[in-house]
Amino acid sequence: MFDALGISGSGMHVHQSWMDAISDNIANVNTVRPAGQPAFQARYVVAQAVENGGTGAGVQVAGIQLGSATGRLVYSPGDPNADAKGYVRLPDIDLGEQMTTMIMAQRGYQANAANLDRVRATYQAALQMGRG
Amino acid sequence: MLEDVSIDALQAAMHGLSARQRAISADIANVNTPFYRAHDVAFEADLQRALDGGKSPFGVTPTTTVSDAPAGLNGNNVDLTAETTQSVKTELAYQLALRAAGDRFSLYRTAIAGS
Repeated sequence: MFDALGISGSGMHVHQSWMDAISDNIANVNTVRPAGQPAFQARYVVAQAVENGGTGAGVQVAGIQLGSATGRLVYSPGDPNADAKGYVRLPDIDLGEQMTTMIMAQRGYQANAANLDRVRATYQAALQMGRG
Repeated sequence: MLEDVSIDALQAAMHGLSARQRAISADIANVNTPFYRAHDVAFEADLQRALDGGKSPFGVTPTTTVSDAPAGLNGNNVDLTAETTQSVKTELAYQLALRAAGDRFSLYRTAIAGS
């Protein structure tokens, strides 16, 4: 009963997690690490469809994959994290890519929210059946 | 008593429409899932055939098929525009069926209670 509400909700949840991961990636775009340590690793949400053999039962977060730990070395001798040669390690996060995927996640969330509202209206109408 | 093929047919239609609404919800939920294939739900032709053949509309089960439309770069073939249009159409069709069933019920109510 009321399955479609939960299915739309699962879509909103996954897109929300995706936006959380992207926000974290953008927040850490300038996170400096010493050259001898791994760089901050970008987080990528893995979405997976929930199949029930019929109409489908929504979507779930199957896991989080981490991006490159190599990052890129930047010459910044004034940084307290810098090694003897003056290098620090920054994450290899492309801000343009992150912003683009942020828009995709946002639009996906909005599509699910709009569908949730239509499903809600349908169930609302069904609850009124037989009245008046 | 109160055996009415119209109400039965409308109930079968609402059953099919709600299965379609679930499939559309699942498709929209997976709009960004890599390698996801959209689902299609069909029941109208079976329902029409059952009604034409004088069979019970309750024998109609909605069939779900996986869409073979061409996929995008990430292997996902959900067309958000088509899904949204389908979602609105399904909602309106469901409300229409509900209204028709409700009107049918009010006929009975009038017959039972008078005026």
